[in-house]
Amino acid sequence: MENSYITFDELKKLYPDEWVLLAEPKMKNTSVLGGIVLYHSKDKKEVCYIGRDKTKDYSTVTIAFAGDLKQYRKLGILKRI
Amino acid sequence: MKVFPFELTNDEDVIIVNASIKRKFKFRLALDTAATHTTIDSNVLYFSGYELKNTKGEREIETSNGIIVVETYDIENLECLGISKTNFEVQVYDFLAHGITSDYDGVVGLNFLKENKFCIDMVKGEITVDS
Repeated sequence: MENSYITFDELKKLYPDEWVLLAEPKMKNTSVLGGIVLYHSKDKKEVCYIGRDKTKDYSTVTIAFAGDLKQYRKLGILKRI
Repeated sequence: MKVFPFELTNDEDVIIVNASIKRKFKFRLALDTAATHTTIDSNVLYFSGYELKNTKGEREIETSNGIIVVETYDIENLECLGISKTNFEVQVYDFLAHGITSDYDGVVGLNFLKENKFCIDMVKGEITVDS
């Protein structure tokens, strides 16, 4: 995979509705603006497990969803028993 | 005092904040003042260089969907909202295996925030933290 910076809008066109592992991500608040694509897949677990070994040469990495993720479920963790 | 803006675009949104493990692995957490403890997706924990077999143990958690079992781990360095914790215990749960696919990777709970003064301004859409 070519190591060049890609904007988030380009990511959405190249890898629609995929999880993308990005190196040296640029962020604005909590939104990803772009980064260097290291791996991508429809399966987030695959990105986490295969992507881990691709991050060693970079100072920061993140995983972003290249699309608009609907919130189907709310997580409400309340307290330890 | 540090200020962290957030945006709620509709009634389904939650407050999302940035977090990082070892200042390298950046992810997003939902701010949950109803959560006693901070909880992270196990897939993200593995991605951040941790071996899932090295758990400290299991705990039962009462959630709005019933009781679940989580595992606990000590995180070498966790940063969120300008607060940095070392050797910080987090709860870990396999969100993906349980059908939770969100654009955030867990919740930051009260145990992370308990030593700080913080204010959530819903009108301005910002969190201020005295750290």
